[in-house]
Amino acid sequence: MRKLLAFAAVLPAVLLLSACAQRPGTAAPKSPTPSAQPRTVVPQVAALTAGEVDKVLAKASLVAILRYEPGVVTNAGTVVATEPPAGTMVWPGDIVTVIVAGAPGATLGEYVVAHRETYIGMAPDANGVLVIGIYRQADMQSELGQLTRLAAGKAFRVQNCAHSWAELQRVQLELSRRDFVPGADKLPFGMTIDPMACAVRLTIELTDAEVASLNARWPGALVIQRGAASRT
Amino acid sequence: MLRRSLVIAGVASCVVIALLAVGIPAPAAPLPDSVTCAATLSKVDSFAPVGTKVRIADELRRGSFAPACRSANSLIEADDLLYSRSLVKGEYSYSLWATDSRFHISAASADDAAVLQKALGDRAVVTAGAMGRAGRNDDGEPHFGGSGIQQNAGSTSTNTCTSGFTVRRNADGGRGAMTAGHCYGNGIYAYSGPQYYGYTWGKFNYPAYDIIGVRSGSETYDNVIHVDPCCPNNRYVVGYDVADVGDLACLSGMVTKAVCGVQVTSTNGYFCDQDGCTGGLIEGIKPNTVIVRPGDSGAPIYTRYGANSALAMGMVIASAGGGTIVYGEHISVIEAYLNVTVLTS
Repeated sequence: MRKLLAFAAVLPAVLLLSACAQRPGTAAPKSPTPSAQPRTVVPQVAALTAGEVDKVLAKASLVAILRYEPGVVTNAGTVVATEPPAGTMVWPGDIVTVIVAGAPGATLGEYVVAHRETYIGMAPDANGVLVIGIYRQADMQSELGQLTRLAAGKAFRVQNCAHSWAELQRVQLELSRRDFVPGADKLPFGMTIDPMACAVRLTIELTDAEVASLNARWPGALVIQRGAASRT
Repeated sequence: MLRRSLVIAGVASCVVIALLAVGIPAPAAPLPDSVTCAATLSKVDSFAPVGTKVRIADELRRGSFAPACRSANSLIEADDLLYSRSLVKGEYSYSLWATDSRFHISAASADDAAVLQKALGDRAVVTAGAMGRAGRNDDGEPHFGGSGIQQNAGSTSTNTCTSGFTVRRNADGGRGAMTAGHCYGNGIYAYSGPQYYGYTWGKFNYPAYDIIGVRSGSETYDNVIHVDPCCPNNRYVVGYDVADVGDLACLSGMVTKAVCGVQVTSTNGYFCDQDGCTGGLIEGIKPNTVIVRPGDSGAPIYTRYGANSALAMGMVIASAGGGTIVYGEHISVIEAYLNVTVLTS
């Protein structure tokens, strides 16, 4: 199957975009202001699976970067330690390296998730082609061979992103404080890191002025999609 | 990635008083958490043939698990009697519990309950009362996932949330199901329309985790989910499918019913509202299609496996984009949070 490589911005047509994620020269999202937030403690996540760690560290307002250790064969797939270790006082938005026993899974998706320092993520476009967001500072040439091997003939394209996964996760952590506009603590919304937009995709009902305010605060790192949300 | 497991509950020593309740069963008081029997679990690294069930007696004969407090032959004999329906012709449902090495049986009539109890002796705990499988919104025993449920008894039109996959508690082997944590508080009696379904337990740390358990010591639950409106109307849950971006999943809420072709777009999404934020979620989208409506919370997220089976992936908790985007908890997170195992046999 033909593999597609594209480095231009690709934005999903279904989104009502209010910011261009590929705007050149955009500033990196700021880390949460240390002085505005109390320090937090690295939680104990040993023995959890890599999939469970995101939830725990997100609750502590920390950014989880995974590091697999193939040499550790006991309890493969579970966390054996963190850097810094559990109990350490850190600032909200700090990176915690989560050391996982064993090797990551052999699929393309598992490889991308296991290498957040390099990849923003992976998502299918409207045609079913996988779009892989790669941080622009990554070594593209060395990664392409690995991606091609793991794709095993499946169509994919690579998108060069201005922000790293950690930077975008910090945006999500700040948004999850629910103080980004007056009354945000009452607003229902959903969000995730969208590798097609190289940005956080926020689904919410906001006024035009509020949208403008958020775009100014996180230029190039936020795509806002209007739409009602609720726990069902 | 597919994680396939067939879990068979084994048994150990125990002391449990056999019960024979007559009449309509009232909601059972919550069971004590103390475990009277240590469960012995054995994982069998294979599936049941697609669309089929695994017989307890067959697994005992195969040596998949070894009961400790009574002979395998005595349980094989009991299972053969129950499965063949040679003792009574009325409706009943049953399952073998790891907690007490006994078959827990719900019979439709008091007469049948008495016959079953006499024939099976201390190998069985039999309750009697109105039962009978009905639809998704008046789900009878054995209970299925994907059922409409509500607090206290009501009608088929007053359910408020959906039950997720049915589960076994790892601590004591008790059976039950799950739903979204925002639906109810702990300790309420949940009904599917007029049918008692179980009581809620295990909710804490909400909204970080939007999960609550449903259980009962007297009700029975099966590894089946409602997937109507069509073809088939139910599916056996036979394993797991860990959510990966790009997967095509199905949802089965009590309002929207079964919807497939939902593409997983993220495995680490957030949903936030006045209660706070729930992170680490599956996000799925089916463009231009409303896939979630109020009342669908708790619904199973699954992938189809063969013509009649399903693999557990997660549980619906919220929607965005006017119902075109779904958010759900991962099944691995739910199992770890409640310390339960999805029933797959």
